[in-house]
This record gives sequence, structure tokens and C-alpha cells, in this order.
Amino acid sequence: MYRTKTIDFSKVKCYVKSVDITGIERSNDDYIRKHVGHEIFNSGNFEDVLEKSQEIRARLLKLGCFKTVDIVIDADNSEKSSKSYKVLVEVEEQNPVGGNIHTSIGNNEGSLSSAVYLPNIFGKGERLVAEYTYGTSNHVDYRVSYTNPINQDPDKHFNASAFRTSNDFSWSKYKQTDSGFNIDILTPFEFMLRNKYHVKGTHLFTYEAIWRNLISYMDSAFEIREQSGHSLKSSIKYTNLIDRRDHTALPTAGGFLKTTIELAGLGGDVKFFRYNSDYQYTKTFFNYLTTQFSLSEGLILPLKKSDPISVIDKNFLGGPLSLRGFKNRGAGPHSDDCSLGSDVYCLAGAHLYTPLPFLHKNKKLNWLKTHSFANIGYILSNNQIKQMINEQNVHIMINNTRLSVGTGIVIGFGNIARLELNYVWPLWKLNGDKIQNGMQFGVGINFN
Amino acid sequence: MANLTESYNESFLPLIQKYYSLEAIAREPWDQNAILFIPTNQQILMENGGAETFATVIYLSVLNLNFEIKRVKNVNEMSPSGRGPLLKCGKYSIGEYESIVNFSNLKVFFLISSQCQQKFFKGNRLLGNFLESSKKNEIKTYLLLIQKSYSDTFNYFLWKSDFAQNAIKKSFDCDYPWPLNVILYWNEYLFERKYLQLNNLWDLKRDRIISRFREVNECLNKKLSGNSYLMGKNLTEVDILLYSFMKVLTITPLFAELKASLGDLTNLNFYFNEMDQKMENILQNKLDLS
Repeated sequence: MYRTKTIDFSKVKCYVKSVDITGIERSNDDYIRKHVGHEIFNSGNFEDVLEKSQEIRARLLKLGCFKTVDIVIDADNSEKSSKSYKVLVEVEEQNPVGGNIHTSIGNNEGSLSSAVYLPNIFGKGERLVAEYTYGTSNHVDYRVSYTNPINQDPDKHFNASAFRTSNDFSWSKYKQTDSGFNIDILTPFEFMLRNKYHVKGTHLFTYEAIWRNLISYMDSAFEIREQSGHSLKSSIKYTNLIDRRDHTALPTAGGFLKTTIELAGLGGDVKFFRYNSDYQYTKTFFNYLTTQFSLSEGLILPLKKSDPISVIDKNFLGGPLSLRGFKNRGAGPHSDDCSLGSDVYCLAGAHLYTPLPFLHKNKKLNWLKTHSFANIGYILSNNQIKQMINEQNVHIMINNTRLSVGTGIVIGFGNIARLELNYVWPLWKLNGDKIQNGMQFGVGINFN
Repeated sequence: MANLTESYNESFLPLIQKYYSLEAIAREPWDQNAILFIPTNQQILMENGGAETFATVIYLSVLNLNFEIKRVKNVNEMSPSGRGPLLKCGKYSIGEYESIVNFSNLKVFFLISSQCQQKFFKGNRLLGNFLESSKKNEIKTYLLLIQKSYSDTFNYFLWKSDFAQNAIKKSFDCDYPWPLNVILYWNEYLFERKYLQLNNLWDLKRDRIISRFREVNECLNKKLSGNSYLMGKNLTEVDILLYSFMKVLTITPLFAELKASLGDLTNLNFYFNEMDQKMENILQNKLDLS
């Protein structure tokens, strides 16, 4: 017979005498010391030591400098006291040069990327990456990025990238090639809302300078053809992101708010002010019924009335993951089968997700759900908005509103992307819209 | 293909006929709001000094077709063939002189075919349309010869002259912001240099280029012997193109050496003077070319 006994580590008094780190070759000592910290030395019992050791391991892995981080807690034989312990941290650093190949999913496109990276170049978590991506829709991307933690904090970083990207926009019949660079600064923030909700998010400040070349197809509409050629955009952008969803692709609870403001015209010949926001809120009732409400809106204004907005910068509406029941960029002004885009849009969605019938108790099928939805939205030009305000005539907005309803299934891929197969009925549509009546398939990251 | 009685110079057709039928193009009337997009004043030096622009304006004016002229900085990018000028007529966008000529002929010929219009167009029709096939092929050959020889010679002088390079850089400065103006200038320079190298022209000496240019013009001079025009008695599109290139020689100081090399070609000079008397007004009125 074996006797069992439970040991309560919180009652085991001990203290940490030293923390030894082995396996460091290129990493800077001060950088590692900062992330190991001193909290572990304040431990009063063994449970504290275990928790703080785990925290040290998580912080060191987050730096991106190490392949593995192993922690051994051992008695410190140099001390006479039996309560003295030492913590051994064994790390294996990343190779000086690494590489990877991976596939990824974008909105209705997939791509294959290969990258070569140099991690921890100067010993403080810096990273240099050269990446090549080839995707569907003739998407090709060459990119070189340098990332540097700010104040040695891996949650805050400075990033500089140079890139060359080309994309085909067949629904507007043009191809676009972008070459340029951008500089990002990412910082986290957190605060208590009404002393009840802990809100965490990120601020992202971006400067980008892009040389854009629009090449129209042979049969493009003239409205697209006359915008062919070269332009230079120099802009600053601010993005605020708060994501409290429990799952990115198939959330069951939580909210999501993303707001972007962009000002272009600091140099270059592209001048506009742009605002976009996306909001989602999800709540589950009775353990099985998940309801979701989403709202997206955006507007773009030229800084001077005489400077027209290019089709590259316009807003578009329609697609299997946004305004369902319409083809990609299918809602809005068209000319000769080309989607021209407009200035102001708003899109709302209401969704209901349920587990598959008779399988609601099977937790392993959480990634597959039935999906019922209604999407409503409008897209207008700045002139139409002005007319609506001046004449106080809401009918302009109502007459340009599209509505679709439908049902189907949705599959979540990991915590990243989702696949939808829906049967859609576009109920309100305008002449000239490109509708997708019936079955519609969509895959992507961003959804509404 | 449409069942038309005459065969056409179909250089523009591969670009269009995939999407539109020939007969549909011919039956549609000329759009009274047609627009001809041409390069800006600053850019025109790079575009063979504006020769194709002049030729297109003259040709459409001689055919009495209504059109408006707009100067844009991206005419080459707008053109389906990658080169200007660009004619927008109804739903069609046609680029380059030869394609615009063939497109215009298609519409005009259809109108002339209906007898009630013959009287109206009498005196305005260009006989290029009404010559037999062998003559039409000859027109095509001369168009290509004049285009290639004049264009290559002009490009040599433009891209190897410091003075011209400064003017070209200024044209990019006017149309594009820094540093895009620098990038696009160097893009263009490297492209043109590569083109001239591939055609074994870049490394030739100036004298050799001038003598090659003169050889071509001697052929044209000989062709004009005893004839008012290159194809005989009547004006065709090839005469308008040749006149336009020679006009550029006259008005552009950079090409003074080239103009001087043609001084003793009496037929050619007489031909140019005669054409200038007829066409100069069109250029002055439409393009404000003094």
C-alpha cells in the first residue's frame, strides 16, 4: 500500500539566494538581467518561487532571443540554512541566422511566404527579417524589416520596413505596385474602466512613404484608366486596438475596437484625411447561442477640393466576409464592370452562431458552427453626404442602403482565420451592384 | 471579323477586337465629345519632340472630326499601348498615331460608304483608305520607316545631350514631387539607354548617327521626285507623320544639326514647305504652336 501526502507549497518557507543563467552567448547581460528581475528574491515560500520562476521563463521566451528556456530550482548547498534555494535558468539561444517557410490566409486569398531572419543581432532583442511572399490574385511581396524593442521592453517596439508589393484588383480592373518604406512604433496601454473592467490595448504610430504605380487593364473603364500612373503618398497613421475577444476567428465573448486615423500630404502628391473604425461585440447565452454585433465605418476627405481621391485610396463595400451577398467591392458605383469605390461607408452586421444540431455537447467541435446573419450598409460620396446634410434629406442614405440575410456554416482555423460557406439573399440592392445570390464562400482574417 | 468591302490596316485591332467587334466600332457615330489626351508642354520634348501629337492633331483636323485636347502628365500610362497620344471616343480608348488613324478611318469610311455622306466628305477623305492593298502595305512600311528612323535619331540626341537632360529633369520636377521625380527620371534614362544599346546606337558617334539619318531622308527625297506626296498625288497619313517629324526638326534647337544635314535635299525641303503652308494653321489653332 502506498501512502499519499499533499504538500502545500505555500507553507514551505524558503528564499532564493541566487539566480544563475547559463547558455548566454550573444545576448547582452543587462538586457537579460532586466527581464529576470528581482521579484523572485522577495519570495517567502516555495509556491511564490514556482510562480515567479514561470514568469521569468515567460518573459525570457517573449524576448525572441531563445529557442528554449528551462528552469531548475535546487537547494543551495553553500548556505547552512535548509530554506535557501538557487534558481538555474538554462537557455538555448536562437541561431544567428534562421529561416522559415509558411502559408498564411488573407481575405479571400492565400499566400506562401519564405523568410530569412537574424534574431538578436546586437544582443538586445533586435531582429532583421527578409521575406518573400507569393499569393493568389498575383500578390507578390518583397520586404526587409528591422525591429528593435524600445527601452528593452519586448511589448514596445520600433520597426522599420522597406518593401515592394504588387497586387491585382480584378474587380476594379487594375494592378497596383507599391514600393516604399514605413516606420512603426508600437506601445501597449492599459486602464481600468469604471473601476470594473481592465482594458488593455495597443497604440501604433506609423509613418509611410509609398511610390504607387497604377496600371489599368486593357479593358478598364476610362475612370480607372485616367488614374493610371505614378503617385507618391507620404502619410502618418495612428491605430488604436483593443481586443478582448476570447478567440480571434470564432469569438464567444468579448469586444473588439480598432480605430485608424491617417493624414496623407506630408510631402508627396497624395493628400487626404482618412478615418476607419471597426467594432465587434460578442456574447453567449445559455452556453450555446452566441450573438455578435459588428459595426464598421470609414470616410476619406481630400485636403483640397481640387485634389481628387485616387481609386487606390477609396473605400469599397462588398465581399463574402463583409457585406455578404455581394461580390468583392460589389456594392457602390461601377463603370464598365469596374468598381470605382466611394468616400464614406458604413456597415453593420448581426450574427447568431450555434453548435451543430445534436452535437452541442461535443466540445471538440467548437471550431465548427452554424451561422445566421443580417448585413446592412451604405456607401456614399462626400457630395452626397453634403447634400444629405444641407437638404436634411435622409432618403439619400436610405436609397443607397443595401441589406442581405443568410445562413450557413463557419469554421475557425486555429486562432487566426475563418472560413464561411453561406446561402445569401441580397434583399436591398441597387442597379449596377454586383450581387452574389445563393451560395457564397469566403475565407479570411477580418470579418464583419 | 466584320464583313466590310475594304481591308483595313488593323494595327490597333488586337488591342480592341478581343472586346469589341469591328462592325460595332464602325457603326457607332463619332463621339462629338471625343478627347485627345496629349503630353504636357514640359514632357513633349521626351515624346519625339511632340511629332506624333502633331500628326494626330493634324490628321483628325483634316478629317473634320470634332475633338477636344487635354494635356495630362500620365498620357503614356493611360494609353493601352503604353505610348501617347490617347484618343477617347465614346467607350474606346486608342493610343498612338497609327492606331488612332486606323480607328478614325474605320468610322469615316463607314460614313463615306453610305452615299448620302459622300458629298460632305468630298475633299476631306484621305486616300490611304481607298488605295489597293499593296499601296496600303507600302504606307505601313513607310510609317514604320519614318517612325523608327526619326524616333531613334531624336532619342539619341535627347538622351546623350546634357542640355536636353536638364530640360527632361525639369519636366519631371514640374509633374512629380521629390523624390519621385528623381526615381522616374532615372527609370526613363536607364530604359532609353538600354533601348539605344540594344539597337546598337548608344555607342555610335554623332556623325555616324547623322549620316544614317541622312540616308533615310535621301530615300524619301528620291520618293518625292516628281510627286507631290509620298504615295503619289494624294495626301495620306504617312505624309502627315513625315511633316510632323520635320516640323519638330524646325522648331527644336536641339535638332539644328539634323536639320542642317537635310539642307541639300531639295524635293524634301520643297515638300516640307508646301505641307507647312497647309498644316501650320492647324497646329497654331489647336496647339497654340507659334
